[in-house]
Amino acid sequence: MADSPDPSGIPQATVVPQRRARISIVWIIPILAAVVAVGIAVQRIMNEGPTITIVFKAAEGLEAGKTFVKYKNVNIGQVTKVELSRDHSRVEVTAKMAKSAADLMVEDAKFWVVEARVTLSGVSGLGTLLSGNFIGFEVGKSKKEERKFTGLEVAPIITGGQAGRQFLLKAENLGSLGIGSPIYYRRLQAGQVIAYDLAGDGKSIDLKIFVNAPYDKYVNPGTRFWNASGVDVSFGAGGLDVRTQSLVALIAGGLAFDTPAYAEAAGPAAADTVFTLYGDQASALKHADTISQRYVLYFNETLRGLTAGAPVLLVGLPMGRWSRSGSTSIRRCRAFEGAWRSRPFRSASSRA
Amino acid sequence: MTTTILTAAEAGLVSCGTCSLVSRPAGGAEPGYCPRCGGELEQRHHHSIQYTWALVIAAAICYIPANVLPILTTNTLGSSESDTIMGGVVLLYRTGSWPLALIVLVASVMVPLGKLVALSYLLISVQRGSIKSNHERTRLYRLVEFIGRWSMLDVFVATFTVALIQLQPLMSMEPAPGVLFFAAVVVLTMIAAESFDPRLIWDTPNRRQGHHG
Amino acid sequence: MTGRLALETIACPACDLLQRIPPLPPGGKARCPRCGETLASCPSDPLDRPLALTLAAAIVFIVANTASLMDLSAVGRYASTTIPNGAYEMWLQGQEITAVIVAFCAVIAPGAYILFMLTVLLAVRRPPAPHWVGELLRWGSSMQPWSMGEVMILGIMVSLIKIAELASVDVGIGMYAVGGLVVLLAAISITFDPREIWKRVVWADGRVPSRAGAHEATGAGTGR
Repeated sequence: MADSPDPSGIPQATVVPQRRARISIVWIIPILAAVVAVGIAVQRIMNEGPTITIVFKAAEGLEAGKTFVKYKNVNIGQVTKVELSRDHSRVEVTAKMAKSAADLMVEDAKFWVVEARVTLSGVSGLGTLLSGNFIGFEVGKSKKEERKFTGLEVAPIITGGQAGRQFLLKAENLGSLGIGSPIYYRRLQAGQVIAYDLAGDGKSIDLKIFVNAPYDKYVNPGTRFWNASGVDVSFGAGGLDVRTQSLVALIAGGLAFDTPAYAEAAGPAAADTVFTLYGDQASALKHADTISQRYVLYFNETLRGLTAGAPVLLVGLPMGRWSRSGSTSIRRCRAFEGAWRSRPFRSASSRA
Repeated sequence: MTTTILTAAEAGLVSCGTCSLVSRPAGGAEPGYCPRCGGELEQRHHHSIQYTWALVIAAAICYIPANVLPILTTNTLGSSESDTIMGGVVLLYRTGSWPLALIVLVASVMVPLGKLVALSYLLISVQRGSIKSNHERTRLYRLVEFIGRWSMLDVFVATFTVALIQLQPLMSMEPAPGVLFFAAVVVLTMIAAESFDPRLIWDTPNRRQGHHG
Repeated sequence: MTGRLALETIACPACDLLQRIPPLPPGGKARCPRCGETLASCPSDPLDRPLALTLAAAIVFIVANTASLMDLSAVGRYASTTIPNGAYEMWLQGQEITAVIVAFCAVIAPGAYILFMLTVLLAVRRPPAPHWVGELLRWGSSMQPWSMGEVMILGIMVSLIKIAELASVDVGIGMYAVGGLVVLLAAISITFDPREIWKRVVWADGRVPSRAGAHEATGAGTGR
């Protein structure tokens, strides 16, 4: 039997009272929930992009919460509200843009509605029949931020960044040209008409055209532009002459340009150079008359078949053009008076 | 020490439905109010058998249009197709997702019907004064209470499918009249299960006379 | 029956049997000997744990109802929805009553339950709590069977699988939040013991409960 130790000799352990208000580990759960929730909220706020408003005349197929704003086929924003403006004359579309697109929202950025369209130059936007209309976007060059925009009614013809050059044409009348009418160079489509307007004095039409690269380098100060719409048919002493640029030009109108052989060699024309739009190819490429003489001819016989512009031929070569016919009476006989212009060769039997 | 098997009702006491306090009823026709929580005391759920029958019958009436009328309409590129609950089950089965078809079949067709049958059986057994199989009946009641909410499954499926598939004109989904009746069946059977007092199963016939409305 | 009852006397809510509940070990449960109904449980930390879980549930509830459940994309179209938006779409489609039912079962009932429980659990930290706290507890308990988070999750998953056949679907944060909410709500009901609340609430007849918890079988009041 072992000797049990004397109880009074053994030291007593110290009592450590239970710490009051011990925080249970379960409180981690709400703290964790709060942290995650705040994290989600902060992330949402940081990814918020700017809200913009675009004013359109009508909101074709635009739906709040569904329609997107696309640039280069990438979604950069979504429509959140479609409402009538305060004076009920326009439609205000509110859109929330992605954060990444925030610095694209500058003063001269452009917005327009993209929908399926059949135009003279083709069918476009077929994809929207399935995916719904969307708002197209084009970058602007300004650096100034903007949040309120006016939407374009028509898609801009030239999207920014497209290589090429813009020129101005002066025409007598619009003919069958319109926005989007093609421009041809040697039968290749080289550009299109982007705008037109009546000149300030009301006597001519100003056309704005855009010639794509690489054709724009063939436009130099001596280049001639002419209206190549429809079919050019002329039946004259030289025979039947039918010219047309293309089927599109036949229907939609078009222009063509070329540099005549006699033009002086020069570098490409600067942007916004003004050119004259001629009525047809012949008059466009006609050499500017350096020496010309006007002649008046008297004929005793009828001048039927002779119209203004008819050629005057010397041994088959065109030397001039019939300009005008009239009649006059001379004391003794009725005679017809005509006048014609000639090229450098003088006719012997002429009276200047 | 012998234990007495005594229900509160037999002992002349009433148990509060809210806070479980057992107290002596106040003298008079009504047992009065609980001294602890102030809630109205009742020996058994008020008019339990009557209310439960009314709700079961109403749910049974709604059950027919719930299954006959379609619950979802699908519009694809102009053409529409409506599906009833069974139609949806068959469609799920045919397209190969038979586990989903089984889940929907059980939750939307078998459970509501089962609840209606079970509650009717419980009501009839109580009204006939049956004293047999009390344990089984109580277990049946617990099952009905537990499984009831799961019939709401198809209502949620319809709700969220409609909310997401709004891609006109390619495809869009709309709810159809049957879904309301179906939701009504679920709600009515849930309330019916709440209004049925399971203590009635254990009441001996003479006791029962005095208590259910 | 008068006299001090050291043990709690109750009547089984399923079979009305009068019985006494002995003091329970932590984590233990009391069952009716006749019908097997669970009568009471003794969770450890019955007031702090449910409070922490309820706070977490409140935060997760807000996330679950504001974040997107899932995002779908098909042929260049996109769609996403939240839980309240789902009920709202039903309303827009003309199913107003169904929309209200869905909103109640999916948003209002769980939200009310969380709100009431939070209030009750905070109020009893300084006993005795005012009487209306008990009322709130009753309302909260009645909301519980109508809070159908788990049914909703299964419903969303069924519709997700159906939709995934024709479009590409991305599960959103809302979905995970609802899952978390369902787990938290289940945890709350496990760690909560209503008897602890009733011990700390002022009685309807004005009595303030003593710390010991012993009471007489009292007489019912005739009115408020």
